Amino acid sequence: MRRQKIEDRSKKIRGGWFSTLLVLVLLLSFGTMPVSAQSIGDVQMDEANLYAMTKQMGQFIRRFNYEEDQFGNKINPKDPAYRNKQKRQQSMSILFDQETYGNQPDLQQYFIEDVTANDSTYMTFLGGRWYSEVSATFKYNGKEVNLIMILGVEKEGLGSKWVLNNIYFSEFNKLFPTGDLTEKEKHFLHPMSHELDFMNIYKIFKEPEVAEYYASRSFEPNYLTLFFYEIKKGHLVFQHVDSVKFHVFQIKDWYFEVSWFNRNSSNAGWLISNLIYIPEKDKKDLLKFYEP
Amino acid sequence: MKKILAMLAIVLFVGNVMAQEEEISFERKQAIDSLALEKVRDLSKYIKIVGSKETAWSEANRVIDRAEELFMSNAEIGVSSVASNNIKYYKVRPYLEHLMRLNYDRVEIEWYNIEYVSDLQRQPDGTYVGVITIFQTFRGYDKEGNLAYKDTTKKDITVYVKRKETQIGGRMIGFWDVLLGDMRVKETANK
Repeated sequence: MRRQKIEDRSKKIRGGWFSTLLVLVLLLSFGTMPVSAQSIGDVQMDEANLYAMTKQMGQFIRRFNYEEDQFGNKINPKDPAYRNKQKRQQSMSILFDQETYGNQPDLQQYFIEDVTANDSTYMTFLGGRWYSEVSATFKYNGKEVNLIMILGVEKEGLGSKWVLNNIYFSEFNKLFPTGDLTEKEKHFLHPMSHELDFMNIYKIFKEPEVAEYYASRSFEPNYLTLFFYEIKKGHLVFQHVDSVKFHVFQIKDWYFEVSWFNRNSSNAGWLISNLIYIPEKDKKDLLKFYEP
Repeated sequence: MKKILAMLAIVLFVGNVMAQEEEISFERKQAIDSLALEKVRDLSKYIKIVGSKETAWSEANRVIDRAEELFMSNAEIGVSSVASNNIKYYKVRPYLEHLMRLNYDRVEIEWYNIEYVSDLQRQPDGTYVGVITIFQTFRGYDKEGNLAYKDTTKKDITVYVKRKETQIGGRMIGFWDVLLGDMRVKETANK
């Protein structure tokens, strides 16, 4: 019932008193933070903003779970304040980009209510189903191109590491377009081809752009293999990272994106830039991109 | 006082040496955080000395030597600005030498009173890795005393924490060794 309500309400999002209240809460929360007296005039204001900034993705996780106080001090798991439901509810709005979610307070509020309910969910580093999207510039056959790398945390040995899960590169996608079904059905090797020593196999190679139509129904192009191939051949050459963001599917029935907001404001750093209610059963298909 | 605290933290770890600890207690993590912070504070202090126009060339070089000792040998410093995401990579010594040679008549380097210490995560070989975030404001003044350049940078410094052991008086003593690794220097939108 509550889930239905969230689904319904998340569809009709309204601005209003909640955003005003939120700004007030933020001002009250951070107005009381300690600032050290320094000689440079504007440093004190900056310092309050830097305290408020979600400085690391790890801090995002700790704030999300309420495992640290508003000053960034880690809370002992034995302390009643650790993961305190009420404090978690009160503080979680600082993790939203208020330029987006200040105008969508309902969705933000229902998310907070849902994740802090009695069957509350927490985000953990090794909990899986959260990915990093690294947008980078490469040179492809001498020309600058943008490419997206999807990385995930994988347990190995005594710890863990970030590994490449998938690639999005428009040039690769162009090679494997979603073809027209009737066109696809025209391309096959008839079932008695073997008796003719596959004399008709040349058809596969006559039209390279549709060569994959001759593959098994289960065939899925592996873009990561293509990526490594092009790197090894020297056709793709890394230039630099342009931006990083995170996609989190770990929280039950929710997906959110966390992006870096570099601005002189108390609402800065790693913040939720996109939030969608997605029932668990619907996540399976989406996850195929992040973890093929 | 801070040095004494750091030493105390080391002493607290003296005890039975375990090959690999499964889980570090909250209290021990806090002690390790203090050790790591001590190294980062040393680095902050060295950057300030190296950057100052009042520091003699020979003294600056001596301090750069000390700063290099804080880092792992292959550590790199990646620098970007608000104008460009393109990261410029430096080794520790060239980075500090660059700071030493900046063409300003006077330089002010201020550190914000914010040190954010991440949780420690283990990498596959068992070494713990963390990141400490600090903020610095840099101001460069010309001959007339006018502010010629100002930036505020966020410095994310990798910290490697490894349990090691040494023999003292025939007894095996365990301790936590902390070394700094790659440092990401990113300009913040502070205008």
